[in-house]
Amino acid sequence: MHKSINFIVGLFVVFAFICLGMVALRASTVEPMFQNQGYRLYARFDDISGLNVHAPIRIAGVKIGVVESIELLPKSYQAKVTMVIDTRFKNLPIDTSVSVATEGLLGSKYLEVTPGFDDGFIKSGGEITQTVSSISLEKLIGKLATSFVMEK
Amino acid sequence: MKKIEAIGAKALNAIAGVGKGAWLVLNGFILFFNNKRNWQTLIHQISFAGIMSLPLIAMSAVFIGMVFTIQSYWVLESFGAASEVGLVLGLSVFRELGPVITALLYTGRVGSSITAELGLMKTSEQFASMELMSVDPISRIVGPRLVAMVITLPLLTMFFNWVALLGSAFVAGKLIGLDSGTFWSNLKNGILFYSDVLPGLFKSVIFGLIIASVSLYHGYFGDATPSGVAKNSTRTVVQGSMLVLIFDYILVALMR
Amino acid sequence: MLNKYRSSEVKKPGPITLENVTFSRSGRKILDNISISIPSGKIIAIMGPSGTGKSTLMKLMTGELKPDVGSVMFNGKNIPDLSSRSLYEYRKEIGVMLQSNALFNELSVFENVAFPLREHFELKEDFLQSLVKLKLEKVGLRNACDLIPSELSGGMARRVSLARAIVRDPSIMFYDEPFTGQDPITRWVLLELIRRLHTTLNMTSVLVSHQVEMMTQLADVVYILSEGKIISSGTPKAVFKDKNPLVRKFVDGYSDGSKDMIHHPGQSLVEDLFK
Repeated sequence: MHKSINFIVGLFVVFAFICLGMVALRASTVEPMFQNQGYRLYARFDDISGLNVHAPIRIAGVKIGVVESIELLPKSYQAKVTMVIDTRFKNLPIDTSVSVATEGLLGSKYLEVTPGFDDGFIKSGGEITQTVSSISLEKLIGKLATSFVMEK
Repeated sequence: MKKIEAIGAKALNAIAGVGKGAWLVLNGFILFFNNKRNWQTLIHQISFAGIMSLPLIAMSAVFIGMVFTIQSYWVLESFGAASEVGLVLGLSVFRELGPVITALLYTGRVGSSITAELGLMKTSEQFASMELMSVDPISRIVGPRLVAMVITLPLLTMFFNWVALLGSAFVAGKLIGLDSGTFWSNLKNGILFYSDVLPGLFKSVIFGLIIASVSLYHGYFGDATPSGVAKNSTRTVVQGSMLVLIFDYILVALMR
Repeated sequence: MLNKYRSSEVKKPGPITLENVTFSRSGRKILDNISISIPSGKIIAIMGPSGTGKSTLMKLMTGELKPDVGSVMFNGKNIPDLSSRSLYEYRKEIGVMLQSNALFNELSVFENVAFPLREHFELKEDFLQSLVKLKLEKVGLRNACDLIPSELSGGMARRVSLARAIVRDPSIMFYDEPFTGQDPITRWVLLELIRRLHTTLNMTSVLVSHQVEMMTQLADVVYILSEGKIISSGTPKAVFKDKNPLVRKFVDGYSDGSKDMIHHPGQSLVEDLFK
């Protein structure tokens, strides 16, 4: 009697974990822990409005890392972004550039990395010097409007 | 003046209740490991709290998945985003609906019956008689039920999550006629296991602890009269559900 | 631990002695400066009208309650001072049959009786079987061992409860109102059973009861409690002839039926109806 109930309860536990496994396999991405397997790079931007911590970093649209932190540099008033990038993509050339991009027309912001062609690589903890700040739709519209006013 | 006194008395009572509940849960947890025989009792309790709840959880999960899919389909369709229906459902189920609804159902199904069971044991002097046989009821009765409840609720939530998805996939694929490949790939791309699925399961562990504390408290310390037992079962359901919702908010706010 | 079952010789229990015990609950004094001693090997009856603290007195002896003042000594130890572990040790020496029987309603009769053994000793299954069957045979319910408590009559449930109380071979047995709620035949059956167990198992038996007629038959020593005090004690014959008006009221009241019902204090009937 004990044995049969033990078996059924064991079955129940296994069954619950199979459900969890199905969710993990079919209905979600088991993201690698970048914090453990990644290395850090920095970049300074004039404007990163709309970019959040945990925003993805992509090369050619494929995710290679996440934004770990964003802080304001006290002297230059630039935004310093710390990125954690998968160690598989360790060899980024020195002239690599990074830009703030938007998913779709109104979507959330992410960082798009464009690898350069230099033979030297950026070391872990180094800085990507070429940055393109975010282009906000509001500012563009604002500029357009003022230019119309100027023309008048 | 008297009214303020009454409020003060109620507040003191509530605080004393929380203290007694914490004492009971802590002791139940520690004393559980004092007796080897508790493991077999634990198996029985998991069978009662978990396996017996499966039909209820399965039915609820299927229907919530199906209803939610139809509802969100109507809304999303008007934005031309009908293909995102799976993603919307998946996020809501894994983060909120799964843990919370399973916990609420669990309070009604398991919490209330544990309170009634303990209340009945108290009414018929079974705790006293165990004590007189040198058996500690906190170790043998409270302990296994506590551990079983904390273990089974997350397991049931895992089950709920998957079954709700199946219900949704059925409605989306067969009834609405969306492409099931898109449905699943949207889910897979949009949902992160570590930041969407696991936090929900962590919440359900906490909910299990809350429901166990409330139901065992009302069973063990509640009035040992027939009407008292009935009232205490109701109290378990009301307070258990409210605490689950309150702690859901607190946990979500903290985990962000 | 098993020696207890192998040896035929059961060690003589030390007597329980209560000295100057006072107990009050929510401001009301239930027991007031009581001193009694429970001699070994005797059947002791604690009697008195309902609500005089008989059961409270018993609960003080079993360690369920602690007195405000006074000591409850057993084998040189004060029971209220015991740690919960030594209290559990002490309770291995005693068996208690509660008024409500307190059977575990999800367990069979056999498992109910086996419960204390399974909890405390790791016995081989066939040895446990025979121990439990022997105890059930003593109360005449060996063939009812597969029934569950809800299938039992009141008298049978009481006997199962009795079998469970004696399964650890206690040296002191406590019975809380053993005859209450039983029909006359069952009452005499139980009385015979208690007497037989008392002599065969060489126990001290403490009964809490208000049934004068039964106790005249059974008890060696009788204590009569009224309003928290011992008002009479001695052999049943002597006690039931005591001239003390309180004793007379209790003894005669029970043999003559309720001669004068005590009204709950408050307004008189005239005041209440024609106000």
